Amino acid sequence: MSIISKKICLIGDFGVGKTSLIRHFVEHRFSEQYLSTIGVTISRKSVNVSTSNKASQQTIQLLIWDIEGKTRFQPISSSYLRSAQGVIVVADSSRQETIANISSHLDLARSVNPQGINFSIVFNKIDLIEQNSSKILQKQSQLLNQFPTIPIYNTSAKTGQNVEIMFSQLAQSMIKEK
Amino acid sequence: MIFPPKKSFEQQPKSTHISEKSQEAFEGLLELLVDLATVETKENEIPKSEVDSDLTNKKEASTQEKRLEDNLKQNLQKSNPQKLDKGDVKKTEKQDDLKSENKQIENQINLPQKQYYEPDEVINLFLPLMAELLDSPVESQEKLKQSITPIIDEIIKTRSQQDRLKMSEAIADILPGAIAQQIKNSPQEIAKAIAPEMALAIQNQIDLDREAIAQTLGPEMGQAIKTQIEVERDAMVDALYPVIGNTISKYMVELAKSINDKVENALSIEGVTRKIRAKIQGISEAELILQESMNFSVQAVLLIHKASGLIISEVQPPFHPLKEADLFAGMLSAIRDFVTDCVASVGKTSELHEIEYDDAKIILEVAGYCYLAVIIKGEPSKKFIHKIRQTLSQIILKNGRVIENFKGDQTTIPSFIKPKLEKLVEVNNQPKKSKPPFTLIGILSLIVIIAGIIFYRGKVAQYWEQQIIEALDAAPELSVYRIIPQVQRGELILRGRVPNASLKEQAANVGQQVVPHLTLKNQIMAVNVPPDAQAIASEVQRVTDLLNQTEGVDIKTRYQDHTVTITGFVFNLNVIERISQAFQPIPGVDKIISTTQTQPHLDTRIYFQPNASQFKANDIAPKIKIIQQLLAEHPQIHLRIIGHSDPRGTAEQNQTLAKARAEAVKKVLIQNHVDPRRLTVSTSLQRPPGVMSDQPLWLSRCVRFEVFFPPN
Repeated sequence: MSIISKKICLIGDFGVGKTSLIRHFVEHRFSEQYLSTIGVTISRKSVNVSTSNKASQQTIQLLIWDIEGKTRFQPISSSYLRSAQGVIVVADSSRQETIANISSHLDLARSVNPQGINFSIVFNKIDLIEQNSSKILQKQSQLLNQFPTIPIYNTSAKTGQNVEIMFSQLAQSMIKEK
Repeated sequence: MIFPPKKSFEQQPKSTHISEKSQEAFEGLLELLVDLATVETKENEIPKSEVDSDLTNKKEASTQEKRLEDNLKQNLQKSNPQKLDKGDVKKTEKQDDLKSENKQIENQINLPQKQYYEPDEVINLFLPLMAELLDSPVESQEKLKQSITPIIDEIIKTRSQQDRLKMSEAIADILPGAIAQQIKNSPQEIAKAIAPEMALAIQNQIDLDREAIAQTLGPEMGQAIKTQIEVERDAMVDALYPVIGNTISKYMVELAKSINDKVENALSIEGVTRKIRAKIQGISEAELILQESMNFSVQAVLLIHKASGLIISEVQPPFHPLKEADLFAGMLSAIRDFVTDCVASVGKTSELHEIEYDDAKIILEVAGYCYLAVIIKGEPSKKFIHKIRQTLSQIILKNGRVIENFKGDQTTIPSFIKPKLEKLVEVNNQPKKSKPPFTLIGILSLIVIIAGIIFYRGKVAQYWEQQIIEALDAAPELSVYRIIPQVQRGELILRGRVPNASLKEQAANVGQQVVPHLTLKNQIMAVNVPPDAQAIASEVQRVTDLLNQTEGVDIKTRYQDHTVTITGFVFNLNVIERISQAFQPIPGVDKIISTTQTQPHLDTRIYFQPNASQFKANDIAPKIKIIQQLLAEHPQIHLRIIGHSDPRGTAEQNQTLAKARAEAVKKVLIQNHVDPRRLTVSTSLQRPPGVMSDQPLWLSRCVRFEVFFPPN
């Protein structure tokens, strides 16, 4: 069976833990130096997902673009988002402003890829806040109402909580869209 | 329903009367058609309750229709031209009948017109009549057209206003065909007709929503251009030339620069080395330059989706495959995007064409939805760059849509692409077979042989040249001049300067004698040097000295006023002639006076008393002086002192006496400082030469002298 490659991008504010998430998920990395040079680094990880008939497995090679978070000096480069089939919008659960920016990141990704894109919203660093924080739940509820088709994950790059699941489920959704 | 045969109408005589009648009838029919159109519209508006009663009416209408049909048949049968041909009277009657029947049909149709709900059937009723009308004379047709056109316009206009959607549906099927046919028939006219409107419409749309029109037209235009390139490539090249001209110009500038560099370096060490290598390999220098340019190897060829950075297809040689090609492709795309976003000028579409590192580079050839990344070690040739472009062009033309929609699944990629990429790798990575350098060995051997031949010939020439130099030196008159012989290619070349043509000729003769098998090329210049008296005198003296070295020659010369005067003695007469000739070539010598004698002569005799070997001192002194002077003048001559006696004594006595007399003279000469080595004593019992037997005896009692040249 041939390997299908998919491009997924991680976007989010600066310091939300995108690189840590990828580091936890991926072993092979191209080079982290590029992130500070041209604002992107690319990693690769293959995952097996079940195909539509659920009888067989399909290997998906995820090419994960770690796009440098928005800073005061530089906006996220929209070019890197082009033709991404999966976009993970990452926010820091402990920083409200990063959660508030989720919508704008989603809008940016949609504007670059008007169709055929799978999103995931990730509340990272969940280990830093209380379990079932009301504020977080409230925000997540709002996001669910706003984007009912987009799955939301609570992750921790530190503990590895939900990291594998989040990537795998995104891969699964992308193969359905294939 | 039966229709009359068309032939019957064609054979019908052309009658204006009939045409006019037919036109009137047709106008009636057209009005009816207008009404029918109205009826059809109204039919759609009839309430369901009315439909049942209408069905009853339809049955009645059907009966009436049947009747109408029968009448029509009868009328048409009556109008059969075969019957009309029977006579004019009968024809007029028939025409009248036709007129009345048509009128009747018209009335019948007009009366129940509102009741007809099957317009197709009604139209079928009129078809034969319409056919008759259309087959009528041309003049009548024109009138009919004039009549029918406004009505048709009216119908279309009315229908369009009533139900635009239905009208659109009605003509939608035929519209593309009609336009296509018209484009085929008269493309210029249709272009002329729609161009202004299209331009205006596009302009308006652009003003309203530029993005929308770009999104709408973009993909289709791209596809249309690709299709057009496939169909008519040359025309598209012409059309696109103004756009791509700059690119071509840039390419040509690069090419010209490359050639210039090579030409400018033609005289450098590298250039000279290239020339030699080209000669050795038996190819032109230009070809070698091209080969040098091809000195590179392809490490990998990746066809990458431009937006996503995913690899569409890749080819890598088995040795040193590219690690992490997927990540490489992604990163390369990111770099491209980074350059496009951050480096390129605002408002310009720029592309990253090349990334260079160490002795390798990545060539990027970018198309609309994909790009080729070719990793090359070395410097790729322009030809190879062209091949990359050609390959990408072919891939896009055939698979543009597939590439555009690529989602990461390589199974969707046509198998056509990979071989194309493989060709790029194959062309430049075929290992060059290392053949034994037969050519080089052969050439080197040839060089050695040629060098040997040249060396041998040089040695031979050098030998002959040495021989000629010696021969020239042996000739006294030539030895003073610098004459250079050169032997080469079967020729003897003599170079140098001599004062006259005689010496030039003489040198040629000398050379020719040494190497008679060579062709002589006498390049000696005969220069008339103004004679210098001192130099001539010195030369004359030099020749004199040389001649005096010869056995039997004892000469003296004096040069004055271009004349050489020779005095002295030679052994024989033949030598005198040669001596004169030896002075002739001396420049400045115009005349030679020779007074050379064959032998010095000494007539002096010393006389003695009878039986005595003592002579008188006062008698001998002047004679000794003469002898001394002769020997002093001719230092090379010797004297033989010969003693004589008178015949009166015995032979022994006479011999002893003659010897004593000769010894006595010798003694006196020695006493007078004559070198004894130059003196020889001898005796003779004969009478002295010139003394006769009847002459006095004292003439025989003497010592005489003979001059001789001692052997060398």
